Amino acid sequence: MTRLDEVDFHEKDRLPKKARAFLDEAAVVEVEKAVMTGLAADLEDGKIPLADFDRLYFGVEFCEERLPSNAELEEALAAAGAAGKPLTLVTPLALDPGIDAAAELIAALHSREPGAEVVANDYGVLHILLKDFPSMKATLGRVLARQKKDPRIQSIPDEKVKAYFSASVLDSPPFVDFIKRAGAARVEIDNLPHAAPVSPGLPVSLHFPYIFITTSRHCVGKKCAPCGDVHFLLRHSLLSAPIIFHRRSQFSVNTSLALAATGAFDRIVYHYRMPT
Amino acid sequence: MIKTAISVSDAREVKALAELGADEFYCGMNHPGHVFALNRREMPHGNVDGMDEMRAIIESAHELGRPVHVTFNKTFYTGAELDHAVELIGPLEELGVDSLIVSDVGLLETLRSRGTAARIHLSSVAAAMNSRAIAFHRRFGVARAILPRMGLDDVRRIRREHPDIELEVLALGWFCPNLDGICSFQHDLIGFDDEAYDREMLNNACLLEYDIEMVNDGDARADATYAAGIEERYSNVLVRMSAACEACHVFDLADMGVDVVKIVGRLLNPAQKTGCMKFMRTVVDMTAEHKSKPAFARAVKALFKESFGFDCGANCFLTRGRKRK
Repeated sequence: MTRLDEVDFHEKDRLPKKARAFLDEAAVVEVEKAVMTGLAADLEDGKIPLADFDRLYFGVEFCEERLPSNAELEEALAAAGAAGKPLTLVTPLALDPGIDAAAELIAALHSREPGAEVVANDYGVLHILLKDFPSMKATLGRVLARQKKDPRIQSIPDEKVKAYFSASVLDSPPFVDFIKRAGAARVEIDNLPHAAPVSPGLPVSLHFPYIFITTSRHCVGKKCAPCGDVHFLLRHSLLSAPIIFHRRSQFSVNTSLALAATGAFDRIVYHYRMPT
Repeated sequence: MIKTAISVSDAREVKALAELGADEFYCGMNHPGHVFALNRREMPHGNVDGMDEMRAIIESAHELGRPVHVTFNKTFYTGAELDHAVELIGPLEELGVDSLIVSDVGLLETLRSRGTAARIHLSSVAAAMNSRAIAFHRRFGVARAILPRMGLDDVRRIRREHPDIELEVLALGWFCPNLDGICSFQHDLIGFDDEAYDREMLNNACLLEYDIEMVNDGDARADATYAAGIEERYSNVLVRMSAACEACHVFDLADMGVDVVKIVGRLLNPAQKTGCMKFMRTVVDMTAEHKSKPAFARAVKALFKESFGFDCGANCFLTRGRKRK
């Protein structure tokens, strides 16, 4: 069976297997560098060189079943604290039980760090943050900060039609005005090859290298077993690189840092493992 | 009694579907002269052509005492697209449209600040799948929440936490394998231009024939049996768009006070709409005749077979409310 790191994505780039490779390549881009994982075990034994990043993102974006426990959050806080780095809690879109669990984690984090940053990928979590935890920095995650991410877009030869797809929800003045008035502190988007730099008047993070395209409530695994490292690659003539189907979600890949280097973003969020 | 909602794309359908038992109608408008759709329906025949036809639909429906809801349910609109949407909304309000079905926060905020005579229904494309997300959207004056597909426990929780908002559940029709409102595969392009893009761009990504390869990123469990099991699940469940039926749940939905069950699909042809409407009307009527869910479900399954000519198993929407482990 092919290994994921043997697969060719855009321009023969391979996915960086180690955080060090990302740090070396991204050194020329003068922005904050955060590393993301949802597993406390990734923070043990120096697997992630946390000291060389500026921030730790801890949590999940798409699967409420994989939300860390309070104990795991404590481990992550300890690891971040030991490295002298701030922690951002990442929460997923979810049904009510998942929102309940996310609310518990947010409350636990608030009790330790009232001004901590929390990423909301569900308007239910954003509601909780704005209403019950106004001291925390509410960040709109990439599920809410919508973009047009269909990787078939790269095959469109007409530049006007292609330009249509470069827009995001941050090109909506009523949306941006509303989230600013509501109290959002930051927005997170994907590193799309066809995206234009944005300037909504809020700090914007760029996620790297996995572009989240879609997600579902069905998991490719069986009986919700621990997330393994088996993925599907979806290939089609309209795709210049395969889509990765991992558990519930589908991703494309962009390992270029060109967008990050435009000066429109103040943070790159590097995913240590496939997002969940 | 719980009500039914079905799509229309021209006025001729209104009377016929009302006679079959439709209580409410929903539709979208075509957006001529633009390369993109305003309401996630790329095919012109799924939408209403022009204000004259919309006037005829609204007048016909109102004569029969039925409301008409018009959808503006793109996941997001840019500033320019919002202007296009509002250009259409103004005349619709003058025609007396009953409700606007909206998902984008930018459009919700625009309608809230500008004011509208129409009610606001929160589209299932908003992906508000929990009670706190519904609470968030209520700040925009939402009168009804159309829920994304979810299990009964989750609907029940939302009903309990929001007893004073109307709820609409998708009960029959097209089922997106992904979370429709979260999906960023393109659903926008309309028409076809050989020079601008390949025809397959117009297809929903979930209908494409992919070449599938499994890759192992170090998983020790990845033997041939595991791979085969996942691949089957992938091809049958996860990627392909299909039809899905929740008619057996109408018993519980009625009991918990859900207001409307929706037949999904603006692209259904007239024969499909007739068949689905007859089926769903009978299902709703049966909620008054049966006292137990098992007996109701048996009757619904038999009705499905009689109505559509095949067993409902392959079209059964089985998701149940998930409990956190």
